[in-house]
Amino acid sequence: MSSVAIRNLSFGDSTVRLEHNGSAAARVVDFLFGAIPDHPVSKPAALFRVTENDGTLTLKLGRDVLYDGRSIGLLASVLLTKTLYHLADGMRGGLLFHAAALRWNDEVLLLPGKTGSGKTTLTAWLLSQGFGYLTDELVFLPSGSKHIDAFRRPLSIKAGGRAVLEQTLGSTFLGSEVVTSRVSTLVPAPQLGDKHPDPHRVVGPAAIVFPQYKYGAKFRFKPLTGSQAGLALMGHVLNARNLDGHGFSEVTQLARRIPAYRMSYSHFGQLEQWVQQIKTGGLGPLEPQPSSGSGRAMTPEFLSHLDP
Amino acid sequence: METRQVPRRRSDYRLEKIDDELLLYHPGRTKTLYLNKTASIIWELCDGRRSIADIVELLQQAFPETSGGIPEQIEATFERLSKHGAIKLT
Repeated sequence: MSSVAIRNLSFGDSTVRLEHNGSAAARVVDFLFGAIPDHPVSKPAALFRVTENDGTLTLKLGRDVLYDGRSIGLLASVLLTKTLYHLADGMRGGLLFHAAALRWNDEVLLLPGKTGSGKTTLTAWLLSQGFGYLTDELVFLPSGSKHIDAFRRPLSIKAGGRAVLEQTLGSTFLGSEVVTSRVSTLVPAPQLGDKHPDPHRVVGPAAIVFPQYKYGAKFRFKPLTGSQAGLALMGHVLNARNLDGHGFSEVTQLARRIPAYRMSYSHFGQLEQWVQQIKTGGLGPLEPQPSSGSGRAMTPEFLSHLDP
Repeated sequence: METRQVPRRRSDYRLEKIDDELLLYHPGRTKTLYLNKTASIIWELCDGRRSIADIVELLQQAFPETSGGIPEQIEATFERLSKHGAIKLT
């Protein structure tokens, strides 16, 4: 019988604990969380156990069996999803955004986006353009801090996104150290090549871009007013119920400080000029497209959500 | 909706003004509303004393260069504010 190993996954002000035994379970945990800080705490937000018995892998949260089978890919996918949920659930000391984050030199680009907005596929393409990887999923902005915490999980590319990337960048772009299931392809963070000395904690963001992939769409890149940015950001706060006033004041402070843009596109070729602008002049302020206009000052506009 | 009705801002919305625009947030409904500059002016004029007709007249005087159709747009804004519970009409 092999001994039990313990790993504490720390992100922002939240920690979950993983206990695992067996070499396959250890490989899965290392693959998923090898780039996440391990800080022991007395009371983690959740305790997961991964056990291995005659080639069968079992994932439990307390007494609940979350996965039981032989697929490393499916185990990895379930474990990643559940740990993220419980980490987010425990966060109280700042804003947790559903967002990707990338680094260009010392500046951070935040890409808030809901599942299906094309955020991870865009992240992978931006990596191919020389950006540094911070996260494709979760960014924590601690209250009162100018730093951010990025959850440096493996890049998690859905099947449709993988096809697009292979078509654009070639089949070898993702490298060989990937775990694939019917749900997703996971590319470990160290393979993504960012050499930042402390990629978990960087200053930023310098710009916020709300990306939206739309089939057949023309490229649009439009600056948002502070209020429009605040409205859009409110839709991406994952730990709102843990925060005073659901984080409304903190979100509007952020919206006042950081330039924000809405971007829609249908293929990566449309983004080349935009990326070139960042490479040349940094992240802010970015130029709008000439056709974007500045709004209709005399027309009442009333939105309860921001259409992409 | 009748133009003699009197709108009043609801006090249970949290408000943040950024430049000339407003964000309203209702914690109970977890609902965020965005009002651009013109819609913000309308919302701020909802003081419980002026009627909708009064507010339309004020805005027409303030923006005389604006062409027709504005009264309908203002009334539509009142309807949406009322639908989302940001104003009460009496």
